Amino acid sequence: MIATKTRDLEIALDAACERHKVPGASVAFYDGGNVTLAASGVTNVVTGVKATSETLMHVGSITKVMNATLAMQLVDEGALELERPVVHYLPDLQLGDAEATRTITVEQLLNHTSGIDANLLPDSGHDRETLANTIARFATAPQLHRPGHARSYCNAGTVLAGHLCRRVAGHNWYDLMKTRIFARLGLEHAAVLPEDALLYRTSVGHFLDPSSGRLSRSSHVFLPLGYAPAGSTNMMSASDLLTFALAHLDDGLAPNGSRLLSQKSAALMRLRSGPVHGGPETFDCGLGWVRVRNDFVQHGGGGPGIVSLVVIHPHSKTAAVVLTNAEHGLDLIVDVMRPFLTAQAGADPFTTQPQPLEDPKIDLTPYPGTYENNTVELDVALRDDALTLSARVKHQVYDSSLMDWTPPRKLLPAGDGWFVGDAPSALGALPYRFMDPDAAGRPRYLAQSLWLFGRRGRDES
Amino acid sequence: MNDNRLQRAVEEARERHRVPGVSVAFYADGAVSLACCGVTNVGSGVDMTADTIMHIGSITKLFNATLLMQLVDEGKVSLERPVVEYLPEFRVGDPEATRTVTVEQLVNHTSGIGGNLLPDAGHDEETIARTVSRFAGVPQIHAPGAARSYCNAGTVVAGFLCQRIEGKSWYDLVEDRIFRPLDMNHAAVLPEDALLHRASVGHFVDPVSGVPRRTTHAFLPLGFAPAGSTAMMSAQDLLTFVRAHMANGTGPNGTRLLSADSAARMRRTSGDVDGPVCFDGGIGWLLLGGDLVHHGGGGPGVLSWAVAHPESGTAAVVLTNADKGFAVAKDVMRPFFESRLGYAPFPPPKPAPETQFDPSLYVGDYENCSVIHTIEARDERLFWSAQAKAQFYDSSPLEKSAEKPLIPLGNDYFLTETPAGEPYATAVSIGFAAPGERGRMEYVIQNFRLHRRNDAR
Repeated sequence: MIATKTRDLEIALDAACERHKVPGASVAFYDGGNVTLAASGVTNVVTGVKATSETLMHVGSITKVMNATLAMQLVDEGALELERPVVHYLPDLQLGDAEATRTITVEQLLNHTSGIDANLLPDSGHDRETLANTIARFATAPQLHRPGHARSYCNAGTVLAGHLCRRVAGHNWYDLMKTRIFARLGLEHAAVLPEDALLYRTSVGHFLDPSSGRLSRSSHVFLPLGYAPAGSTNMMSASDLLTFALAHLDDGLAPNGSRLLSQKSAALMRLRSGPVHGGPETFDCGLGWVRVRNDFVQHGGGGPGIVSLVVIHPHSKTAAVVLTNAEHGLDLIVDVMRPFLTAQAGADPFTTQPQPLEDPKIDLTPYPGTYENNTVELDVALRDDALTLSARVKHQVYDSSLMDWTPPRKLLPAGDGWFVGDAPSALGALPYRFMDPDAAGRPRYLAQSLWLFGRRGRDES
Repeated sequence: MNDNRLQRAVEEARERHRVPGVSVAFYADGAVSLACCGVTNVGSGVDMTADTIMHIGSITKLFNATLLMQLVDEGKVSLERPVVEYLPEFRVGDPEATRTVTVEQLVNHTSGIGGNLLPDAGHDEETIARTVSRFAGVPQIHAPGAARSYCNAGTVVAGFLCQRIEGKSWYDLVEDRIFRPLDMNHAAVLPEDALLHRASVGHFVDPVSGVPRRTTHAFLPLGFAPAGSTAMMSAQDLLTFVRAHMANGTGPNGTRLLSADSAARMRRTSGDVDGPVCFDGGIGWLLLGGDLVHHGGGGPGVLSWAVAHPESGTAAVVLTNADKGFAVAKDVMRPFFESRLGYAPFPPPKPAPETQFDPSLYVGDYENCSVIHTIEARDERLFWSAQAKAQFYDSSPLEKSAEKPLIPLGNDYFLTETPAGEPYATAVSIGFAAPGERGRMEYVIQNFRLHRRNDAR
């Protein structure tokens, strides 16, 4: 397959970088026959090094799809069974909840239904921030919900899945990623170890100060390294990430002709998986892949000052990758991807968000409370006949976290438990949804984006 | 020196030796001169700049020794004390050495602990603490204090000791106690922080074609960080650190890095060594004749070098991203020091081919934990070859090196002859020490290290 660089795409990307104040971006599109690449801007506003199509950029949580692929390879080889409890393979597993320790299955780690509440833990410092130490720290992690009964985006499950692959395969996770994913796909601009990234032209994250419009380079290159299988370390070119996506688009067969995983497993990864009993869920997903509207599957990635997205549409044999080195890169991604995907698939994956109701007559009294997971607290209050929301990060994860409570922001009713905040975004106002009402009609959970936050004092559903 | 002249000299030396990138910072008469050229990485083609961070390799040992001396200044550690007093779990292969090795011996290269490098244990396993625990099995190359042989292991233990005493990771100590106080803004001691900067990686220059090839590994095993596997910085920032030492512990920004006593002590011969010495050593610093102090650094395809003459306030830093970079450093430093001091460090060796010697006294296998040197004799000539015992990435093939003839330099020192057709090869110096029974040499000195005769091989 030959990759071409089209001037049109480059011009569009240059304009989008300019418009959205994104320092650097890299794009790789596949239209069913050809690969098109474009890169724009710089890798780092301090060094001013130009971003190229070979530049390694953070893929962040897109790593989770690769991690799930690793696990499914082991399923293909008969070394792992999705239905088995994790403790079967890791007899020394210890989570905060004894019942969860005993029952969480391999599948629940990959479909975000394990409920382990350890979204991120404070960085424990170099030489301590290892995968094994992170697993050990889960020994005190509470459950956000009972295993399998709800779906909330779960970093901890992914990390545990990575640890499981390591234990079952008997190699360290980084080596598994290099030998079983990168090498099989023939990737040449990919690094899963921070120290390997230095071999390449690499990008770092940036933050935009909304008041001054100034871009500042992140002070940290990676999220805590012990979360590597959830996506803290992985970097690659847009073109190499597209190669991975194409292997999934072709049911496990890589563009270089080697088999990444079985056809059956590739298909299974895109099929809906869990949760049981109709529990609350924030999104639809398979194993690794996130399922969105119009038959697209995708995964996004974040990190300190970065946003990335990969999207595939199996019916139309379309795939798209956009990597950016800006915290606010999502608007650019939507701008650049939407015309391409619409032209290819006749639709796009980007959801239009609920809109505020014109004349809401809604009883707001069930909603106030404190909703939380291990990293974030959301305080919902009723003030002057309106709901307000204030948020606080419980522990600092580098420069992106605010430890102070944000000023209360109005939540406008949008119907069916939905509310919208007033933060502007390309996708409309940031939506929130109150879910899973108890007998008294009070929601057990507040959902924001892919995460559930449990109401303090809720009963078991 | 005129910066343009320096820039031209650096460019010429870089091209002559086929080194991809070079960054230079000189200091004389109170003025800094900078020059840099080439690329950070032949793969990416990114241009070198004065802000580019490059590997300083073992020059890190000076930072590590400085950390330790800061703790000495603060009365938290005493150089004369045995290491086990501070680290009760400290173990090396030899129980006597475990009991007696002092803190000072860790940083003046007289501890004799083997373990020059250990095979990479893999990411997440390769930590400073685990490396120190792996020393429990390493043998001594000599008894503590009895000889001076460049010792990575001692440095790692010293770094771990600092970490333990301060209750903070070694990486944080380097950042908090050295980089920040000296305003070193283009310096990284963690591999993951290096990505914040324009950063260089190593290359290997093919000795025949001169074509540089990028290394496959950016760093030596990370558990050896205090010995120099991870630290990177700009030539200018390294010069800032060297200037703080020359100014008896006060940085160019006026911040005191360490006491004047400790700064002076680091530059004086340390240890009363009776046995063979591979070099004269202070604490951290290596000492040359003519009051020059220096330290070099290597890694996978990198070579760096810092030289200072504190008495006159003259210093030079040369960082390169090629294994053959020492040739560049020598070429650009020679005129700089000669014009100021009348002499330069590491004058070119003068072969003394007429030297009479008895080849049988030198013949044999000599080894430390990472390499075996084989000396053979034919037709009254000596031949040298070497074989690595463990693989350290692309820098050390496990096959035995091609045999090279040795040219005598006198005083039991020899130099390898560069074979015709290898214009980019670098000559290797081989010394012999400690004649024993019937005058046979007990040690080979190569690359600042002792390698002990092993007749069993």
